[in-house]
Amino acid sequence: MSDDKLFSRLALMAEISDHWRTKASTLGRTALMKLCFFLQESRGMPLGYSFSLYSYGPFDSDVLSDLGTAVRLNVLKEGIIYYSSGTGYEYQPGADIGSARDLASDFLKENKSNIQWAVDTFGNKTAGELELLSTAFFVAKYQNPADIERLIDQIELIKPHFSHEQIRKGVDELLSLKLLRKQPTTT
Amino acid sequence: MQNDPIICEIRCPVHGFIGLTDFERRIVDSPQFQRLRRVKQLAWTDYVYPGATHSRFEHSLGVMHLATRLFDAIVETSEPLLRRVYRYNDNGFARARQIVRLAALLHDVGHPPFSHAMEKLLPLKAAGHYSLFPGQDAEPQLYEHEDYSVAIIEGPLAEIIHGHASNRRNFRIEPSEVSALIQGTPAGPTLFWREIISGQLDADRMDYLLRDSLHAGVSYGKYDLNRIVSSICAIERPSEESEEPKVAVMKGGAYAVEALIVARYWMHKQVYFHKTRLACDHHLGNAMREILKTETGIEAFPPPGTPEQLQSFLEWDDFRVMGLLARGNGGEHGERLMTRNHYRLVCEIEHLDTSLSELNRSTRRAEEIVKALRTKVKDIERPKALWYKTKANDELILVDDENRRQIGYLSSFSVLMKSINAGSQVFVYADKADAGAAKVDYEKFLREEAEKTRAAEKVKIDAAPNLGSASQELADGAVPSTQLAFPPQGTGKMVQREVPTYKGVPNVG
Repeated sequence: MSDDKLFSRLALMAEISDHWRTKASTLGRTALMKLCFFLQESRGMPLGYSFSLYSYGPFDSDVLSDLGTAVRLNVLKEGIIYYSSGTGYEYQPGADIGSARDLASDFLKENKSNIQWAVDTFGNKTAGELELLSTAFFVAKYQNPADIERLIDQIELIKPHFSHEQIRKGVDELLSLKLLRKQPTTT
Repeated sequence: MQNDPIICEIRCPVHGFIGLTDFERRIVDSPQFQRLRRVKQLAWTDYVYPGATHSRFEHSLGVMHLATRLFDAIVETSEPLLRRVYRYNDNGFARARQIVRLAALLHDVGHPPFSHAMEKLLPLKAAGHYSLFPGQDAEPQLYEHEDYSVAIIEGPLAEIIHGHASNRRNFRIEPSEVSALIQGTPAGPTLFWREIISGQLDADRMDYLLRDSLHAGVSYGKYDLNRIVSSICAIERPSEESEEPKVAVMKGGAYAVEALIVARYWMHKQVYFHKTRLACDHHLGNAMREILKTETGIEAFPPPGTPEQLQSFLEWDDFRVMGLLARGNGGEHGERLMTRNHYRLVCEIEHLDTSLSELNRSTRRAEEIVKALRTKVKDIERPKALWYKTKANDELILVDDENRRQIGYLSSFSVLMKSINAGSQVFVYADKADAGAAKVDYEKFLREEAEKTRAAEKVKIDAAPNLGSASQELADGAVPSTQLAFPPQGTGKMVQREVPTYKGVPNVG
């Protein structure tokens, strides 16, 4: 991977964290992972990640590596959050966010609307909702189910935590966002 | 349903005896799996470490053995959770265990000759057509060896999987359920187990570190495997973080995991990214390009699209490539490999990433060095930064040994994890005949760079107020802080110079 690609990825994370400040929820690892997934896989942003499916949704360890790099280079600031049942991480813009933006200014300019779209669309979702939506999108895209009903059947097997109704609602949301089409194409 | 009985054992230099069921032995006996005997695990690494001639065959058996140990350990520590979330009963566990064993056994069955060294010659994927997704992909991607593994499992091996009596009678495992764990596609509740096939703490890396270390004759890859196995478990995470269970490690095993990560770092430094190994990979890639062009008319392996193309791919193994190289079909690079006349390292440029500006400066500096060496540069290798994948182990969750409550990520506890992260390297190579002259050019570049730095310092000091004669001393070569300096020739002792202290300039070290 070239440094330019790394700079683009770091700048993207910086930009997401900055836009996220308007949201009530904290920006955690799940949200960053899934936003990178949606931006690459549905909006065509050339990030060069290679997502594959785990029980907790689409994942690429390179996103975490970049996240670690962003923290070390002060592009992002990392904090630990203590929940009643364990701990998690939260991310905010770091002191060197300006340098990150400067090094990938063209990339950010080209993708300004995509980044805004991702934060606006997914910024108020819980980690569980993001796992469900990204899993549904991944299955729809890469498994080519025959129709929406088959898609819902497949997701139910992967996500036993979610009810049939919750999964259907998630799929409907992807349809309304025009990330999926209702009628499959056969060509 | 019980696990199938073990009907034969194969002696493994790392794990002792590895047992196979009849179902598994049929797969191991297939020509597709036997081909792995003829695919070396570490390509041309035996040019540096002569013992490193082991194959993907023994590694695959080892991964199956370790994945089973991890599976059994997780079930033992976390059975109630898995029964509740994934609705496993005894039959479900036995079936999932068999799927995990098959996925581990077959995870590398689609490797091209010489393993990862040839992956750049896998073809580009055709643009995807998606029935329910209306958009387009961002960038075309190369096939990966996992794509071939999946095609082999769902193609030529499907008949063995479907046809075996034990599978028909007991498990009813579909080939797609096995390949799903390798490629990461939907597999129902079995998908949870993908983490021990390809995850933060998977059987693949646990095996290859021990195996590669043993065969290379180095100790860098060793760690406390038994401690990790005894510490692994499944946990539920806080719902604010995820809705799904995940593999975690009890805190008592944290140091063993740390040792595994350090072992991986050392193995990359000392073996996988050894300067000569990287040069050989470069020659091998170019020689293979030449061979493929002659043999198939295309500078890439066949895609796994049709059964004929897949069969054509499977006919490529190390033996065939070595035969063609021996006949001189690999061109200049093949000849270099056969005579060990590989490119020689001129310099290894440290790529610092302590800050964004430093990282950017390092990149520009590397470009300047390459420019200064002009036409002597034959190859530039930038192995994927050492810390890059290692860093992802930060995700590993630690839990309390007693109540399994999540207590944080490994990175929160491990100072070691943080300190092995900085920097990567750029390797610059020249022809053997030019390497000496190229090194002279490199030394010249470093001298000129030092002179420029000194001149810039002098300008700064001259511009600063109240320095008096000190600026002149510093510009004349005084050492600006306490440091060991090389002694005058012939004295044989290192000397510690006094720190020059200047009026108005605090010594901040």
